[in-house]
Amino acid sequence: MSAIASATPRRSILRRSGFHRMPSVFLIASWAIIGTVVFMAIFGSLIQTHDPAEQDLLNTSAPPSAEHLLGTDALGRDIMARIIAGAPAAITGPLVVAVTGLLMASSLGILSGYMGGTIDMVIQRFVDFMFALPGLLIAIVIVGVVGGGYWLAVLVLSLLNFAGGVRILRGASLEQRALPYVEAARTLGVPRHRIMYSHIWRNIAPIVFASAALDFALALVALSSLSYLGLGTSPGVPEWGRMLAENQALLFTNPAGVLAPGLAIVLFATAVTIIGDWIYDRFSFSGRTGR
Amino acid sequence: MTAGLATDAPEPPPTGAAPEQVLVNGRREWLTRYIRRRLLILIPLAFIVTVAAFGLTHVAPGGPVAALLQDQAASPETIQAIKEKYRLNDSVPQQYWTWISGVAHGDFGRSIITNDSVLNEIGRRMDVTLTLNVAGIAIAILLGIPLGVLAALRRGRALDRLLVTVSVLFMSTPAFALGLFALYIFGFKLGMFPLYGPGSWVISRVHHLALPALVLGLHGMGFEMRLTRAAMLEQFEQDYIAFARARGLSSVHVTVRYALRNALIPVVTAAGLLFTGLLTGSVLVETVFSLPGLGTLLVNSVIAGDFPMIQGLLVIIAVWVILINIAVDVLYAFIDPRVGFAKATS
Amino acid sequence: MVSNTDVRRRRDPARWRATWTLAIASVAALLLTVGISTSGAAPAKQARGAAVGSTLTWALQTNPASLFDAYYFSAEGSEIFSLVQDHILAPGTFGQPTTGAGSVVSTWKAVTPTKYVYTIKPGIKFSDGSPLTAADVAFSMNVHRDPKTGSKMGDFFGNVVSIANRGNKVTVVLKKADSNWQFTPAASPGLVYSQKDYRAKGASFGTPGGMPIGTGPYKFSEFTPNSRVVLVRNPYYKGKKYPWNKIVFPVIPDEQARLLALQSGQIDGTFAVPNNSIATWTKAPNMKVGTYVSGGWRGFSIDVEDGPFQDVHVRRAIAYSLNKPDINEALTSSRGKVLAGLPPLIFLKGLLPAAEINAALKKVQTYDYSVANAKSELAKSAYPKGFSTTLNVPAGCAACLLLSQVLSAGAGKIGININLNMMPGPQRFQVILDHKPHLGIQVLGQAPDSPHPMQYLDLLYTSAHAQPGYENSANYKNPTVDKLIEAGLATSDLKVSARDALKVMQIASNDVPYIPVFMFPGAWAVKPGWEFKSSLGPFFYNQLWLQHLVAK
Repeated sequence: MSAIASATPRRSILRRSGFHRMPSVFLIASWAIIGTVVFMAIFGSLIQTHDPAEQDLLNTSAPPSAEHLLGTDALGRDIMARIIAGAPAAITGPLVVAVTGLLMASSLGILSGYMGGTIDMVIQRFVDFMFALPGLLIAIVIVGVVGGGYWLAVLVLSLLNFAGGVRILRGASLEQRALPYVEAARTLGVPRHRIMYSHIWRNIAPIVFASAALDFALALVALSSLSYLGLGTSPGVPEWGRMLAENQALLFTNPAGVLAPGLAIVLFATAVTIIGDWIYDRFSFSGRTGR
Repeated sequence: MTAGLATDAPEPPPTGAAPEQVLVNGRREWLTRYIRRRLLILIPLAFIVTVAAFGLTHVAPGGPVAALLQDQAASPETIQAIKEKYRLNDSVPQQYWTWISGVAHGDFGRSIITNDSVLNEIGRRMDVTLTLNVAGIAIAILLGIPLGVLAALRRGRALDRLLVTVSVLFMSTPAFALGLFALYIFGFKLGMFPLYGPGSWVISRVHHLALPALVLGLHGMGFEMRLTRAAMLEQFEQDYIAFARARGLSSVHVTVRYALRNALIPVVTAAGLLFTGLLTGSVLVETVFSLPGLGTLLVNSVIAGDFPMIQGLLVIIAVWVILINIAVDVLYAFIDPRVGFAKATS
Repeated sequence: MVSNTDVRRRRDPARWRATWTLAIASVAALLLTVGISTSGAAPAKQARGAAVGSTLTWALQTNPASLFDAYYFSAEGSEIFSLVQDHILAPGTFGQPTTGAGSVVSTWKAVTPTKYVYTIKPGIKFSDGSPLTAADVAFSMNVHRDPKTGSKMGDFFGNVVSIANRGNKVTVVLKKADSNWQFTPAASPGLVYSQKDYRAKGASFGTPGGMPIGTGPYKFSEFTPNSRVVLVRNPYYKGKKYPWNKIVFPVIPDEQARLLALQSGQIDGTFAVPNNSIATWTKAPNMKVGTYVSGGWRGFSIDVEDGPFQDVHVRRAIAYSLNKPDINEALTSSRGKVLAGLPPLIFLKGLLPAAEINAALKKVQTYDYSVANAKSELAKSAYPKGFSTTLNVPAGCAACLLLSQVLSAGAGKIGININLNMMPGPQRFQVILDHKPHLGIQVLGQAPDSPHPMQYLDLLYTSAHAQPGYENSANYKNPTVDKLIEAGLATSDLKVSARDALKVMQIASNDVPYIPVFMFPGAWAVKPGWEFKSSLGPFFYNQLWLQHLVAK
């Protein structure tokens, strides 16, 4: 990026809007949501008023009441407790997918961008192919036919969803490669893998994390979609996507059974994505102003 | 699909050497060779997919016979008869050969559930899914691109943040949740749309598919908006924009004309990839709206273990995805004037 | 790209904004217009209700896989087929074989315990005008026996040696005496097809391009898979005329959509009311919901040869941990009936006096819900602290899922840790068919094929069926029970069968190889003002069920 670019109106747009003067409402809300979910995941058992697995067969599909804040489901289980109990599943699965994506995208993306040549071409072809694959569709088929459960779904999604990240990191590495510090490191005789995975990685870390955040959100939606179709999570395990499917039958007697997990998924995924965007905007060079 | 943080070009423009000669003919020739090269890859790729599809359904534990019996107890004689009818006693490679030679003649076998030919079943459902997806993409593009441009122009301001949040919201809402909600409000409470089925051509079909297409489209709109916004922002960083402004083209709208035109290159080609993304989304939307499309066919076949149907569907979907990708690559190579110049001279 | 001319053509911010807003607004307006303009137009333009000449719209839950029952063996399929094809014998409310409307036989009798002769009514015509002959009737049964057909109903004819026709009579010869055979021509395999039609249509028989003809009051007019099946009147039918000229069966897999469709009047009724939604449907306005006895059951089998389950105390402990009345309330809104054992009493009530049944029931061990009893029972076993096991839950069965979760919760209270493993349906059924060791606990649900008292018992309790390919997944092998079942099947006096069935129930209640939980209800939902007569029973789908529908 040239010096001219740095004098573009973009800076003035930023200044004018006071973008960095006060955190946006959305940002605060996103952090609050993420905080709530993490809190529920770790301290859930402390704040639950009911046991999420406790069935009350004579009080099924009850609408919200003082005793059951969100009502009960088809087997009389407290929905609020199940939402809280579903928080860990909403974090671990997508986290594994995001972290795997992060690791694979980092290694392949930086390798591809820095080394160039045949390695770049091979990785690029491979990534192009994987990028085009409808990941969730394949997950549906594999999990459905093999019948593997939650972790199989996580595995399949991890393997299929890193392609986009590789592209982004490759682009970012290409940019970094042209910078003086890389040249300097090379002259000093720093070994290649150190240049790639220490120096370059450190500089593009914000993009890596932002991309991982987006992966997380998309994995959450994908996993809950799988659970909705009945594939993935074990029966009875409180997981938001599965709750949506289980409680769809109660749509007219206790809509909270559908609204609660639905909102939980949407809000959490949205919050994580917004934070990811924020990381990108705030910390990466291409997100901010020019150099 | 971690699109949005940067543009997602299938092939980034080759940097570096300016061509010695600009040969329009050379470029066209290169393009045709490029298309041919890409199409040739289709064959080995499709072959790999058939092996994978076949392997999956036959290697996965206990399937074909139980699926055929569908929870009806059967005596060993009946089971033998069924095995013979579907040639399940042959070795797996032999079964594969039987199947693939059939496929080469256009015979994908018969569904074990309906006993109807796989191709017939797929053909019947194709138009619903196709209509749904095309409409969905149209909505995603028609709404997503303008809103993305708007967001990019008003970057940092309240409108941008609102639009970004809206796009993230639609991306994060599982398609089935959106569909359920829409079905309840618009289908039932307001009575504006029918509650089930695909309707018959033309007006009734549009009526029946309007809501699902909207749901699908909004989902895709989220992605498109992000993509467009990011692409536009990247264009804004380019030198030529600064040049244009420096020369007095201070009007934001003139720069929109140029920035947009260039930003659209990766955006439109990514719209082709939207097809694949929406295909997955349509599986869920079709389920919620009881539409007899390829999505529900896939899910039902998977749950019922209808292996000829699963195989056939996987192959067809794979070929479809590959063709879309080739089309996207070719489209990109075609509309990006920079691609092909260096190669045209080689 | 930048030229001087562009400088002059500066666009007005307001105009630009307006253009885009207009574009977006017009797209939205287009959609809304389409929606509003074509909405409100009542989807049913034809006269609703039972006025002569009108259309009946009846929703299905599952897409018919085929219009030929050899390939699509289900109650919903038969629901349709029984209006197009007559049966050889027509089932009464509780499945008793009759020769009334819906049957093509005028008289029949068991000449010997192994030889049955059926005389075909004269003058019956198919919907293409061709006459029904005894050859067609014989063919309709033999087609299921032919291995080349790969019919799912092949096993109904396991005891048959030959089926032949001569003149207007059909003769069936059995291997051994079997009082269950009399019900088969009145059940799903008894649908009557035209041999000529079958041969003409070949591989497309049952597909949209080869819709079968029949001798019933209606004939197939259209089959659009996953959309609908349409029937119109059979002009050659001479029996009772039902009010509707046309019957449309739309396929609505989604339960909410079905409910909303009925509520808004888009359909007239349906049988596809899921058990655990009966409460929701009943509370919904603008429709009437009712239940009928289905004769089907849900519960569990326990492999008596597998590990900890070999101990009868363990099995009894599990039985004690299930609160059957509460489960019945939760899963069927108490419209089902708690079962102490198999078979459901409805199949015995018509055969024996109530006093005798009640006396026999006193000797049947029931395991009324009691955690204390469960724990003490378990303490008597070798596993007082409990153990872990896995239960495979078939995908796509909501009731199985709920029941399994209830079991898991109940057994968990006494230390038996049941892990639920969701499996694709075919895979899970394969485990049962393969009859591999360690079948553990299986969640089962069955609908009756015939009203014979021994029907379920033969399937589930005989040692001969505790092997690959059969369904005695409890591996129950009790010689006394085997003898009772054999006697019950061989005798031609169903009272004897009923008594033997009660004896089996008593023995089994001590051994607990199966835990039947409840008899699930059948349910129907129709427009307000309509209803089904109480004569709707377990085998309605093999009858001309329209006769029970009271439509206004």
